[in-house]
Amino acid sequence: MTKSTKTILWVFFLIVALVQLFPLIWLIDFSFLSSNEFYSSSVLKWPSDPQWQNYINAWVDGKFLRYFINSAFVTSVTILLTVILSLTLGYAFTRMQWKLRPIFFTIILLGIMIPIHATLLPNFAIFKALGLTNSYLGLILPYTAVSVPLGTFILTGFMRSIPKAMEESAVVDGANIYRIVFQIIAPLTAPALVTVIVTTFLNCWNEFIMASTFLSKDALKTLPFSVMNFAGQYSSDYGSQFAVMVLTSIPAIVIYAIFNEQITKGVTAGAVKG
Amino acid sequence: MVMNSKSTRNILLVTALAAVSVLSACGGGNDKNNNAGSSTNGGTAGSADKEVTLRLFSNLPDRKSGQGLAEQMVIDNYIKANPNVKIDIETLAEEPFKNKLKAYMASNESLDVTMVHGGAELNTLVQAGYVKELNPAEYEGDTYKFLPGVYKSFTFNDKLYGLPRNSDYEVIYYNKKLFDDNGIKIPTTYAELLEAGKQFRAKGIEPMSMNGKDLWSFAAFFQDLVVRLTGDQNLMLDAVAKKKNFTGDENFLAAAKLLAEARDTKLFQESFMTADYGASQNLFTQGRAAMWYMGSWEAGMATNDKLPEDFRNNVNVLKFPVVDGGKGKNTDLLAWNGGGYSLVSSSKHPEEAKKFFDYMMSADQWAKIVWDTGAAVPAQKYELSGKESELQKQLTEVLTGATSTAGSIALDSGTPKFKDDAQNAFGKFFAGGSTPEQLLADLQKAAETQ
Repeated sequence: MTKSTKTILWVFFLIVALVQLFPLIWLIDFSFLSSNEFYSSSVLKWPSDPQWQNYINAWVDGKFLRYFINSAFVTSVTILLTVILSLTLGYAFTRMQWKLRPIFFTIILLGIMIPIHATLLPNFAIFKALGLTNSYLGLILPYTAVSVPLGTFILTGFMRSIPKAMEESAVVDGANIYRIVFQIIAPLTAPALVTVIVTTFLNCWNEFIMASTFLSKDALKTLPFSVMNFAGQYSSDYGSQFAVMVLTSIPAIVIYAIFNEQITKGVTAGAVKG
Repeated sequence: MVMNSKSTRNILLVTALAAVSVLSACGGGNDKNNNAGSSTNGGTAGSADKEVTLRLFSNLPDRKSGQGLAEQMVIDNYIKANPNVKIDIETLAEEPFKNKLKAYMASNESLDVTMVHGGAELNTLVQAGYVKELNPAEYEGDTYKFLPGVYKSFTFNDKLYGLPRNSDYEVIYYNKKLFDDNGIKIPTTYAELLEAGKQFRAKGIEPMSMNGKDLWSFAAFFQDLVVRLTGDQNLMLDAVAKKKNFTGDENFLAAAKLLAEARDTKLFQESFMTADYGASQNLFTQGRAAMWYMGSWEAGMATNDKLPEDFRNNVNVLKFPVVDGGKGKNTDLLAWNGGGYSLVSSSKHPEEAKKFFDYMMSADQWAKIVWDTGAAVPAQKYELSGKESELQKQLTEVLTGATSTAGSIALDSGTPKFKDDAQNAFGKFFAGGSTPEQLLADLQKAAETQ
């Protein structure tokens, strides 16, 4: 490759990176403006008088810390349940021989096609009868239920690509079924598991409609409510909302930065072998 | 190795059990608290000194400004006067609020007081028996001072099911300085309005800011035009109720043609179809648009110290201009009472709830506070405190000088489906450039299929 083509490539990549990062830069920039400076003629605006107050509002009036803890708890339990269930289901569907396997596999995969919001009212009625509204479980159960089908789908695809010889030798060495699933298969499917974890994380972290329907107690609310705390009937305090969104997106960015490599690997692995 | 298998299984079982019990403890703990709370309440609701927790559901999540602040102030006042009462406020913004209210209605949730939108939405709640009937006689007289005719969208089959909290009416806010500096006449007729629009456009100033993305403003603008043409406040409401037709009526056609003129002479700002409420407001408050077509609830703009001072000193109110040859006067006001509060039938503390409700709706609470803070114009007679901004005085004049009022905004007088379809018809008209005839045909279809 000549030097000039290399430079062109670099410039091209830089532009792409900038385009990708622009919304984030814009978000951070506008989180320092007061609401009435929004929608001015310039795309980015240098905050002559940075509104740190927005962040104080986000923290205090947005009840950021409490909602953050709730979000973190609900999300992590959901991820844990999703991973355990998808992994074991995936194993049962790829390795075990049983009579109704194809039917159950189809039924589980049908779950991918059901939009979460279609189940809103029936779920509300059922949860209310069971006393699950206004509890963490009322969010964890539906979140897990919608995450498991996709997780199973990704993991079955991935597991089919793992040679059976591994398990055979494990059985010869005396490993039981749990050991095989959690100690042999789980590490081998790590890239796919990370994909499942990340998609589940993003879905739960940003979900609002279900949370807003099932929760009315302030002590249990999750992060998306924080943005809502600055919405008036007609106009909103955009500055503080942007500050909330910056704070909310930090965990997502951190997670992406940490698992960056596995995510890309997992996605492509699932795509080719699934 | 059998041992090994068993112990692993046991460990897994124990972990699973532990996880489940931790989770159910979280959920169960809350339930227990709830039950404990309500059982003590239930047993002692009769005596005034015992703890009571009332549940209020509202569409005002922002408790630090505007109407949310006013609502919070009323609640704080009530708690101060009645230390035994706690008020549990749940708030969601408009759309999630409506969805959740439906869910609450479907499951007969025991709220005590809820915010309601008059018209179709309240009608659904009434038919489900979710809200309580009120006795209008109780709300006559000096404690409440409701303005005449404000119960219209809260009354079904001659029975009252809620009380309105605001008088909403559409006006044109304008920036006087922009008119003066550019030597443009403040319009009194629709033709002058369009002419002013052309002049502003020639000078590179946006004539009128419009929240086109929200779509409802177009419907209000159209209704204003119909009233200016015919002087008949009921014509459009009748058409929505299928007593008249949108199509084949020369008045509607004339109004639609006037609307097309506004579109074609570019009266509204560039890319007005993508501007939501905040965008259209900021365009106006930053002094980049000369006018803003909006409701009376923006009275607080003149005293909002976050807005530029230059703007605050120059914001004024204009009545929607008359149409040449039209039968309507500029005092025929497109006013309605949209938002309000209702008592919920399944309340666990009906007496305490009623007490709080009556307190909130008394003239010296919500009405006074909302007026003093400039958050809205109340539906009750209010005393001028003398501290009003010029803008508030002008808005009062518009309301008290009205010779007729609509009572309901046409868009909200049909079913939610009608509202959707009608809004889309206006969207198609402004974004897709369909003809006036096509707009009326679409509206007709929306009214027929609601």
